[in-house]
Amino acid sequence: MTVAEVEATPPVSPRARRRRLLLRRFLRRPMAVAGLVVAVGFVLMAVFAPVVAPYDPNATDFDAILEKPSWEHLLGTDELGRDVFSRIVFGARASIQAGVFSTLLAIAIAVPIGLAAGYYRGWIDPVISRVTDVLLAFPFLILAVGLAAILGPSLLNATIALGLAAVPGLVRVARGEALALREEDYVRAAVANGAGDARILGRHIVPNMTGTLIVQATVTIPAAIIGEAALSFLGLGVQPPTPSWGVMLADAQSYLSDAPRLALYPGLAIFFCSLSFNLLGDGLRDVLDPKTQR
Amino acid sequence: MGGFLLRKAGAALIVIFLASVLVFLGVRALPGDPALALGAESRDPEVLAAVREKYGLDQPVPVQYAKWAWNALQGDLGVDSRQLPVSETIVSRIPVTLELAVLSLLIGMVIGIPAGVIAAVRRGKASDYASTSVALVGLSLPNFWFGLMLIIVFAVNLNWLPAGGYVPFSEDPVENLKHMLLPAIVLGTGLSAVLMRQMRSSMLDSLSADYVRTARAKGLSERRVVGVHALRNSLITVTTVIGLQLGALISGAVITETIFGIAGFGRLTVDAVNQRDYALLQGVVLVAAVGYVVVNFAVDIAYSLLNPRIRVSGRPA
Repeated sequence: MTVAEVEATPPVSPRARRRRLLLRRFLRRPMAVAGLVVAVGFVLMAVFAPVVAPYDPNATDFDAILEKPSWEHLLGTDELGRDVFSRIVFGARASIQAGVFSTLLAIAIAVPIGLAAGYYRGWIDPVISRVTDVLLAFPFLILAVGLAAILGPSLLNATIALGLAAVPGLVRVARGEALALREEDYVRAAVANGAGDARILGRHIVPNMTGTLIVQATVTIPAAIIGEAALSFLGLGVQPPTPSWGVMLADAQSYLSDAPRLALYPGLAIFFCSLSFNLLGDGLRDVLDPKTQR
Repeated sequence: MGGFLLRKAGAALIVIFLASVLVFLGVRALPGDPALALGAESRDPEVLAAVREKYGLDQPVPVQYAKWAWNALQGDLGVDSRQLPVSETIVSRIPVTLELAVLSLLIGMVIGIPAGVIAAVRRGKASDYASTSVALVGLSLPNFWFGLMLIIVFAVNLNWLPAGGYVPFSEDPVENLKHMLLPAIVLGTGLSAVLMRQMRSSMLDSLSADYVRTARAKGLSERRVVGVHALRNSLITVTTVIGLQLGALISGAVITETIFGIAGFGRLTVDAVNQRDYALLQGVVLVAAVGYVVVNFAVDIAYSLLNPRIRVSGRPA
């Protein structure tokens, strides 16, 4: 190729081409696309809850308690005459907030720690690995319950507790990735070229582990969503009367024979919300990691 | 093998030691003054001082830890806020949760392993998609909600099974199983989803391995190739996953026992948190962590016996 020809090729960088390839691979997976659509739907529902919900989620109406679904109340009313549909819509806020922010918190803490262990090795690696082992010895929910008990019951604290409880698992993933990537030829080449640690980590290691991290994030989010519901169900998360799917389920326990639908709807919301993120995560894993392709 | 055992045992002991320190400090980070709870909420400074002295709360934290750890080693976890010995309470609750865990594990394996094998053998076909999708549904199902739904259908509407409670196996085996069935299904289905996915992926690995090709080339029937050669090696990998799932089972027991009103280990954890019972919480969390470490140590040993390569290279890739 002559110089003129090189300059004449359309300005499509290899990175953009790869991105388009990944997008096309993703779009070929109907379940993953469905997961993305539903997940985005839940996020929008949480953000625009006041617009979507027909009623104030905490407005009680003692003339209309435990009503069956009707056009007036799409999913009926609860034991205090509150509109169940509006409470589900507002409940998405707690779930999405806990799911997304606890995952971001976990990544922000776990990635630097994992990088330090996997990239620098030395004395810090065994120390971090051992501490990770210790934390992994505590079952996720027991750890989250314990942390929530220490921090006190509230949505913010439940989010922090779930985020911290997810850290050890993510540290292990980040460490493993860093460990593998530092042996790659392009990292060795960068070292030979005299690149510093900051450049190697920032330009080579971190960008190459984003795929794995995105996949991990999409499986951590549903775990945290279910975790938030579980904590709120146990009284360690969102406090009534703030609407949360876990709180709604806990309240519904007293009406299992009179109004089982009160237990049905919030559970379906938790289920579809976490299923959508799980489908998305599975799809992304197939797309970003060709090794696991069927 | 001796060196490997020693190394693994050493690592397990270190983890248990650090876990005990963490539990001890973590419980001390809980809000609220333990002396206040132990002294029947009396605010009389003299009573509080006496309580602090009695329980050693006036001593430096490392001394408190050493005493607690030394007693714990001898099986004494102190007394809870009702003056009942913590170790005895825990020991009395463990069989209940153990039974639940074993039943769930059985249900999980009976569903998960065959489903995983079928999905792998019929990879890319309808049955593969079906079982993979069902597994994903199982993973997204919040177990406490699933439990409530089972109660509504089988206890409230059909009246086939009790909605909750517990009857010891020694008293009435049939009633015991009736009470345990729904909770075990709740925990078992979640587990079966995890096992199915693991089984499918390790079967896929095995089926493309050289020894399977050799077995096929020898002219063995497909049944034998899948059933003996591939399955046996995949089961080894799944053993480790079952060990790791113990944590999930304990987490699940916390919620499931709360819903079904079973006075087991999980319920005890929730009660300890809600009652701010320091000694009890400390004991419960410590026992959970030690149990997890010990089971995984046993799994590591079993795994290395089944797969000698591990002894040399450490963990499998």
